[in-house]
Amino acid sequence: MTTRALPDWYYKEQAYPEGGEKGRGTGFIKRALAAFGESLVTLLSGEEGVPDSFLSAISPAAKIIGIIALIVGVTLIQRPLILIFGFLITLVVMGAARIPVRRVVHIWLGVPVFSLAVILPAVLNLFSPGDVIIALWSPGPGAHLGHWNLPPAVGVTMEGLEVASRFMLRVIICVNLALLLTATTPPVKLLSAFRRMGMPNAFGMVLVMMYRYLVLLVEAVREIHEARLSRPYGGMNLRAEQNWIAAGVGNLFRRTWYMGEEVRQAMAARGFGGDLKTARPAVFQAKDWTFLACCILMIFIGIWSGGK
Amino acid sequence: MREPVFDLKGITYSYPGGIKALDDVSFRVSGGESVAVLGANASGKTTLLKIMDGLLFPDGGEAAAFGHRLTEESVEKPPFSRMFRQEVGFLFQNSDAQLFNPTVREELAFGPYQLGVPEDEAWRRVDDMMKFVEIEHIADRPPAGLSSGEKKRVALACLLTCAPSILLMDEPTTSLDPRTQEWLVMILKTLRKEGMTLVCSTHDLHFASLVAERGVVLTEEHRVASDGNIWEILTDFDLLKKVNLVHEHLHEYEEVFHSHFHVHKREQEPDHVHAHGSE
Repeated sequence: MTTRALPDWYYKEQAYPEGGEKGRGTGFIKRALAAFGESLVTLLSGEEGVPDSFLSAISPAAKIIGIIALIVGVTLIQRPLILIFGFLITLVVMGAARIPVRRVVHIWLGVPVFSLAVILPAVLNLFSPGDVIIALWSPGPGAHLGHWNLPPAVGVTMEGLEVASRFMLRVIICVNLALLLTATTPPVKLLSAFRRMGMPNAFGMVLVMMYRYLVLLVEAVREIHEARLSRPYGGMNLRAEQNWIAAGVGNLFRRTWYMGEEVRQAMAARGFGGDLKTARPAVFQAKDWTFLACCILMIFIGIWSGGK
Repeated sequence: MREPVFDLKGITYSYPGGIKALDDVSFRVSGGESVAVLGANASGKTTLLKIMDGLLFPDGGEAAAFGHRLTEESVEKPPFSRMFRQEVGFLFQNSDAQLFNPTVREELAFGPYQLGVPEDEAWRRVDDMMKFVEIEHIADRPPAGLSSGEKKRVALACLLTCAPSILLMDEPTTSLDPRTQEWLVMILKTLRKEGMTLVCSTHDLHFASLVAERGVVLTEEHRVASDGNIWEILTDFDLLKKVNLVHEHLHEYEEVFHSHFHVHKREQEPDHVHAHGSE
């Protein structure tokens, strides 16, 4: 009789547990982690491609200054026609900067919906009085809701529509401007530019390091999750899954603490003694000054023609 | 006799919970030497190097560098702290811990900036070192997106921009492919020729034989088992077996196993061969 090296149970036919993949919550965690991890790592690692264009060649610091100035300028423009014109200009510039349409649409679908939810009450004469142009409900004279007196006819007002359209146009222009900045500048260069523009050293360094190590954190989470998936398991109930997540969080905390300590040592080893010295300030070239001049000119024309 | 740059006397160190890492470790390193600190996993190699770099401080014994005792106060107090941080570079095993700036270029500039090197000089060093370690093509990339080999090159370059005369390297060959290992060996040989003092911790005996002239062997009980010529150490199979640095190669021949110890001979020898010892 041959002696077996492993325990007897090892040679018995194993019963394969059922479920698991379809178990409550497991699929959600798996999908959410995969999608979140992929997009975050791509974004944070700064490896996402930035299309070559006239805007990508402009210094990030100049772009930050110019675009922030444009955003402030947009908030000062009152006339909807000028705002529409400004919106069209941003579309033309986005086309020239070769920003993918998919990315633009993706942003547009999210931000305006939120903005609409914010501005919608202002359209109705429930909160601000005005001339009703579309009546939605007629509760009649003297109607009230608790202590709140209702107008005889509740509806969309002309004044409300003007406020809402102006607000929405400003929002979408600002979103387009922000997209022009972020889609034509790698995130790491944006951070560097902020530091070179005089952001307080400690704040800048914390931001840079948070950004840098978020990638590692996400990858560590993904590793823990994949290690769990690689081991056979059956139907995991909610309680078991919660236990697993809690253990994972503990594991992650231990890893990040250790990494934090190593980073501190690595900084000390290269001469960091608490007083951070950072890179040289941004130096603008002719094209950067031209860009800034164009931005100022547009702000001036916009406010001159579209102000009160 | 060359001047000692490091002088360790009776170093003991324990981590919280009483986990012992070093026990009565003593040795000296002279300027221009190339030393391999050899030991199995958890023998205390990393702790020893961190004590030598003033990142950890011993519970007992005394660590000194350039004639100054390394204490929490001394490594933070100028002018010694500045001189010490400029002269001693530390290459971490985990390059991610060392690379925390947004781009490779800024990573290389970090050290010179902290040491107060004038701006133009700092950026000249960055350009020179990028060329020296062949990383010019990744200058504007974020370190997070680099391969292990590229990260190691960047990590080494960002030490060299501080112009250190001593390099402490913790398991430098970990997770490197053969070509990058070969590159690292060639770079270290070059630095050695230029008079740099090299101290590396490793359990890679082949690597140690290529870059070191002297070995300090740590036991699994965290003590020094041997300190001497690297080739004498690498051919002492009893010692290497005792400290868990060699393994037995098993060969199967007609269902019969034959075993022998195995270590690589140093490159300087005429023929690069394997040396075998019989049990």
